[in-house]
Amino acid sequence: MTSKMIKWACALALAAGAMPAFAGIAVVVAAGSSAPSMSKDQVSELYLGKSSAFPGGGSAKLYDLPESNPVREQFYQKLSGKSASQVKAVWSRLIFSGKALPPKELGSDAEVKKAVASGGTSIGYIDSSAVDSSVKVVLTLP
Amino acid sequence: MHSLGRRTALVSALLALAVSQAALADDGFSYRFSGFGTLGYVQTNTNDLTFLNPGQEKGATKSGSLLVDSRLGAQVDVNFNDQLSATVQGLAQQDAKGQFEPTLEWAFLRYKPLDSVSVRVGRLGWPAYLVSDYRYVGYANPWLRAPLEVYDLAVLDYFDGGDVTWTHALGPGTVSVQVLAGSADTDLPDTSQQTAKLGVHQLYGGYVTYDIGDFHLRGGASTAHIDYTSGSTAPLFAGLQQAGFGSIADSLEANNKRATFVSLGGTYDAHNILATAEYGALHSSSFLARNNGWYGTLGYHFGSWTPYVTYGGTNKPSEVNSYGVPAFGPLLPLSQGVDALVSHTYQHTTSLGVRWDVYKNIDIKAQLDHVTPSANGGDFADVSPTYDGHSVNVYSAVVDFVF
Repeated sequence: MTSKMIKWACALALAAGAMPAFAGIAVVVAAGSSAPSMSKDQVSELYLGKSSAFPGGGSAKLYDLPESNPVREQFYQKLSGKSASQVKAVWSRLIFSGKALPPKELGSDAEVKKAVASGGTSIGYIDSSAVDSSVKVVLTLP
Repeated sequence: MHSLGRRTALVSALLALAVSQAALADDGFSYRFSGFGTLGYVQTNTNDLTFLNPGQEKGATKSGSLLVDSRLGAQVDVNFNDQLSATVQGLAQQDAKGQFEPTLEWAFLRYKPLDSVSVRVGRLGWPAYLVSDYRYVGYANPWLRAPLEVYDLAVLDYFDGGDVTWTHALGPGTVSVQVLAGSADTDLPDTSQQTAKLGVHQLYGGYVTYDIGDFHLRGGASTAHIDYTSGSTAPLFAGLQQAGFGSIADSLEANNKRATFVSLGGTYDAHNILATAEYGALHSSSFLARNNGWYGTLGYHFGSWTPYVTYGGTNKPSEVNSYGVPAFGPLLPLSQGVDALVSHTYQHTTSLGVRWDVYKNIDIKAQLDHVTPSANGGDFADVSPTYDGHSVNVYSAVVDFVF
């Protein structure tokens, strides 16, 4: 068990060392949140508007990176296999049927981190390299 | 005039409520302005009949038209708190008089007493079809336009009333049950160059949606009493009454007659595959009789290009044998009039199209429809007396955008 974990840690460290600029995407909540880890499906349901339930109760407040940020395209691609325009079409259906409003768009990893760190039912995604102690990672997309 | 006054009153009431509630809301207040539009051109290869969307007066022949698919919509959403929100949507497109005019599509308040329950009151979209809620948002749809074989069956965009939606996890998916009640008045185009009126009263409906993974399924039924008055059918019914065929006129006329619309559809969109299919059936005790339609669409996402193919059909069986107006002498025009109203009407369409996502919120689509209508013109309008039932090609191109 322990040796397995060390192997994983080494692998992760190697991967991080090899690709310092892009270490994956972290889905984050506030550091003090009681939310447990989330599955890819759970996060996908939230970000494609199929559900608005925050794990642990309440209604989730979602944050998005700007369309100009490549992490956004990678996030949706890894999460759902959908391109940015497919995701936009999905949200158009929800917005113009009055069913849901899309995630709030913020300017950068730092802004998303700040909004999420303020607590409540906030969820965001940021480049893994931007993770710090103000947020808790509930899912990592490699 | 009258309906404009009513709309204004409805909007004022919503705004007043919005303002008073906004003052009360302590947190969670937010609003959003969104818009959508389409610039579209369509033309056909014949002047024998006219291609248009349901509810329109002017359409395309060999002379193209910009009025069939072009439209512009705007929506304001206001969230007062986690429980209460308001949505207003205006849409400008060609109306039943052939004018490009704005209408108030939706104006409703939504209250969520629980996370799983939503209650809406006001002007709501009639949710009978798979894409009812966003049919006019070209960007949100795979096709250039919603297939007419199904979307021409029951022409009603919105109603005034209320609905309740309950959403719950069921097995590996999510089920949503919606019940609605209300009424509506709609203008429809008419061959007599006047506007026909469709009144829908005591409208009740129930719809079930099931979302499981990448599948979305939806079905349900609506029933109502309908009144249809038009300058082109009124003289026929009056003539039948005078000629002593009052009972035939009464059974043909859509005068407080019950109509029921049943629909079922599903869609799958994942792994770059897009598949969708839908069926609808109208049953009515009037000249509208029984009418059903269906289509299936298959598409594939190649990066920003999505080619698709659609095959659809509609069929309104003949009721000619039910109405025995003798076809001779002075009764001949009446008999022909009745036959024309209740004759077998059908249409099949094969469509090939492509969507190109050219920019982050803009797509361009082109579509070719090869349509084979019955000799009375199927879903086409202004059918020439010399039309022999030949197939028609419809060529369309649009630019869709959202903001």
